[in-house]
Amino acid sequence: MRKLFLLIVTVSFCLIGLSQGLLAQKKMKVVTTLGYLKYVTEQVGGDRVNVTALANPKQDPHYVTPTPRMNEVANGADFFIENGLSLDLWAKNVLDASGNPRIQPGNPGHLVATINVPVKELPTEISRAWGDIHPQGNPHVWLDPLNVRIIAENIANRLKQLDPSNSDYYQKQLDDFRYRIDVALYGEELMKIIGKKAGDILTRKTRNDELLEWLKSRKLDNKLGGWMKTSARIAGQKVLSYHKTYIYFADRFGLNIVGELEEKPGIPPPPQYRDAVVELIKREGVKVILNDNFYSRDAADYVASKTGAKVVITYVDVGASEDTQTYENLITFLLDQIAAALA
Amino acid sequence: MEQIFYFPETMIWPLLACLVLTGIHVYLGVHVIARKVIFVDLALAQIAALGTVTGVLLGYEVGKDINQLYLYSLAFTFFGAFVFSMTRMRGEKVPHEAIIGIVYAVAFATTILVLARSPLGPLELDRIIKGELLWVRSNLVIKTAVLYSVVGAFHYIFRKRFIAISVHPEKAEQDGINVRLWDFLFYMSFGFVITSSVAIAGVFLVFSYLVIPAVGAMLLAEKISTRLIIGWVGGAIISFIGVKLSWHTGLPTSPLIVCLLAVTLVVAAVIRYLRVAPNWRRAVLNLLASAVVFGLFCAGVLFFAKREEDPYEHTVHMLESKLATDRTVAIGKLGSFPDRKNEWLPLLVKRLSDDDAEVRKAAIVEIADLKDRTATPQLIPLLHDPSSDVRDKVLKAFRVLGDTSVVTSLITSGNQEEDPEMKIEILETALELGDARAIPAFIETINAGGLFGGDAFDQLQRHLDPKFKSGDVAGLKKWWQENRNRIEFDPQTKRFGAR
Repeated sequence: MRKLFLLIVTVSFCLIGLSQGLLAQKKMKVVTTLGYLKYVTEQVGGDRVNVTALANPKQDPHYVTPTPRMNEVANGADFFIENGLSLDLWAKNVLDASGNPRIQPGNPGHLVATINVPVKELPTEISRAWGDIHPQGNPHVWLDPLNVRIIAENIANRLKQLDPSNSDYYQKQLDDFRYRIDVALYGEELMKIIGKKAGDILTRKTRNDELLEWLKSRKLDNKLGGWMKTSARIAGQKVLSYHKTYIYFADRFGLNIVGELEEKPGIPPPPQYRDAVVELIKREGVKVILNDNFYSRDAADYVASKTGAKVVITYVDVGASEDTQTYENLITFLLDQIAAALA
Repeated sequence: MEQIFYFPETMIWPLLACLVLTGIHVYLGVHVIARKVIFVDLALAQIAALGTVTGVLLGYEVGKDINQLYLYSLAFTFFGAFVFSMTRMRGEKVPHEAIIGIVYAVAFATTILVLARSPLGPLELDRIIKGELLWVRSNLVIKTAVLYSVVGAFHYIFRKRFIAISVHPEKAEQDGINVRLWDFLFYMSFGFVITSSVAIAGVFLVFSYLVIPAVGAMLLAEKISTRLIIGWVGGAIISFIGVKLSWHTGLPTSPLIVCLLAVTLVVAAVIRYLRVAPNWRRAVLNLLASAVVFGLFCAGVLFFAKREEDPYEHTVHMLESKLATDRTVAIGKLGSFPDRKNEWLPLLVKRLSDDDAEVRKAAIVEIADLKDRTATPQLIPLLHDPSSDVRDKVLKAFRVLGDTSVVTSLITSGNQEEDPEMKIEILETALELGDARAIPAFIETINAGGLFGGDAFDQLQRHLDPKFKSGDVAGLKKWWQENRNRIEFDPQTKRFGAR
C-alpha cells in the first residue's frame, strides 16, 4: 500500500514537472541586441515570449564585445531582433557564432526592427567615401516614440508569422502597447475625444507637422496632454550633444540641437573644430550639453569650462538606470533631465 | 606669411602640455633606453588604466570621483613598479623586456575583462590609447608641471645614483648602492609620471615622447648631457610645429606629433649615416636608391587603389541592395540620370512593391516628381497599403499627376476607409480631380458629425462655388439637393458649381 502511494506521488510529481516543462517550452525564446527592443518585444509578446537582451544598456550600443555567453543565448533562440542601420553591427558576430540556422538574416527568425521607419540623415552620395559610423543614416530612431510604434508593429507582424496560432493575441498586445504610447504622447483625454483610429490620425498629423495647427482649428489645443504637452518646456531650446544620438528625439519634441562635440566618431577632432564648437555655443547661447553616459566627459567639461554651459549625463537605452526601466520612463527621464538643466 | 607667425591662443595649453611632457619624458627616455626597457611605459600605462577601470568596477564614477580613481591608478602603478624592480635579474637570464611584455599583455587582458563588466566599455580603452590632449585645461597643465618639477628635482638631487643604476648596474652594486631600492624608486617616480601623462596625452603619444627624441639624440651624441639637450630642443620644436600644423591642417594633434617625431628621427638617422660613412659619395647614392625604393612602394600602393564603379551602374545596383536605406538613397539619385530614364523607370516602378514602407514612399515621391502617368496602374494598389504614411503619399502623388483615371478607385477605397481623417483626404483627392461622386460621400461624413464632420465640411466647402458659412450644413445640403444633376467642375479653380 505504501509503495503504491509512493508510486502515485512520484508519478504525479513527474507529470506536474513534465507539464510545466511543456508549458515553459511553449514560450518563444527571443533574443534582442538592445534593451529597448527587449522592452518592446515583451510588451507585444506578453506572456508568450521570453526575451533576453545581449547588450548592457549602460554601454555604447555601437561597440559591444560579443562573448561566448551571447553566442550560447543566440544558439537557443527562436527569434533574433536587431536594430540594424549599422548600429549594432556586432550582432553579425553573434549570429555567425551562434550556429543557429533559424535566426540567420533572410529567415523569418531574424528581424531588423527598424524596417519601415523613416530614417534621417541618409547619405546624399552613393560612394565608398561614405566611411561614416552611420552609413545607413542615423540609427538612433527609437528616441522618437512614433518610430517605436512602427518598430512594435514590425515585431508583432513577425511574431504572428512565427507563431500563427497566437496571432490575435499579438495583435491585441500591439494595440494595447500602441495605445499606451499614444496616451503617453498626447494624453488620454485627446485620444478619447478623437476616438476611432486616434493614434494613427495624431501620428500622421505629428509627422506632417500639422498637429498643433489642426488642434487649434478644432479648438482642441487645450486638450493636448502627455509628452507633446510637457515637451513645450524644451521646445525651441538650444542644446549641444556629444554624438548625433538625439536627432529623432529633438525633431519630435522641438529641441534645437545646434551641433555635436565629436566631429567624426572615434577620431580626436581637429583643433579648429573644437574652437568652432566653443564659438558656436557662445554665439547661440547654448545652455546645455548632452553627454551620453558612456562617452568620456573630458570634451564636454572642457567646453563647459569655456562657456558656462551645463553638462547633462543622459541614458539612451531602456534599463540603463533606475529611472529608465521602461521605454515610457526613458522618454520622460530625458524630457525631465533636459528641462531641469535648462531651467 | 602671416600664417607662419600666427599661433592660435586656444592651442597654448595643449602646447604647454606637450612641452611639459617633452621635459620629463626625454629625460626618462634616456634612462629607459640605457636600461633596455623600452616598453616599460606601455606596461605601466596599462597598469594605471587597469587601476582606473577597477575603481569604476568598484563603484566610483568617471568624471565624479576623479581623485579616488586617480589614487586607484596610482596604487596600481606603484605595485607595477614594485614588480619591475623585483624582477630585474643579475646577469639577465630572462631579459627584463620579456617580463615587461608579459606584464603589459596581462594588464591589457585584465583591463578588457574588467571593462566587459563595467559601463565604460571599449571606449575607455580607446581613450587610454588616444588621450584627450585637445581638451586639456590650464589647471591640469599647471598641476602636472608642478608635480613633474618635484620628480625632476628628486632625480636631479640623486642624479649620480639614478644614472649609475641605469647605465652600470653591476658597478653600482659593487659601489654599495642598494640597486633594488633605487630601482623601485626609479620605477615608482616613472609610474607616477606615466599615470598623469597618459591621462593627458594617451599611451602612444607618451611612448613617442619617451623613446623617439632619446633615440634620435643617441644617434647624434654620446654624452648624456648633450643627448638631453638635443632631445629637449628637438622635442620642443616638434611639439610646437605639430600643434601649429594640426591647427592649420585640421588633423588630430597627437597622431600628427607622433608622425612628425618619426620624420625627425629619419632625418637624424640620415645625418648620422652621412657622418660615419667612410665614402660620402657612395652614402649619398645609397640614400637616393632607398628613396627610389620608397617612392616605388608608394606608387604601387596607389596604383592598386580600387576603381570607382560607374555612378549610374552603382545606383542601379543599389536599387537592389539588401539594405532598405541603400534602396531609398538610390531612388533619390535616379533623377540625376535624366537621359537614361527609359532604362531605370521600370526599375523604379518595381520598387513600388518593396517590402519596406520607406522605400515605397520614396518611389511614390520620385514618380510624382517625374509627372509620369505611365506608372499610375501600379500606384492604385497602394491606396490599400498597410502603412497610412504610404497611402498619404499616394494621394499627394495623384494630385500632382492629375490623372483622372484613378477616381473610381479613390471613391471605392474612400468608402471603405475606416480611418475618418484618411477617408476625408481620399475623397478630397477625388474632388480635386473633378469627380462629383465624392460629394455624397462627403455629405455622409458630415452627417455622421463629430470632430471629422467639421473637417469634412471645411474641405468640401473649399471645392464648391457658392460659399457657405462655416457650420451651414443645412444650406450646403439644400444646394446639393437642388443642383446635383447639373453639377460641373472647373479645372482652373478646382471647384464644383451649378451649370
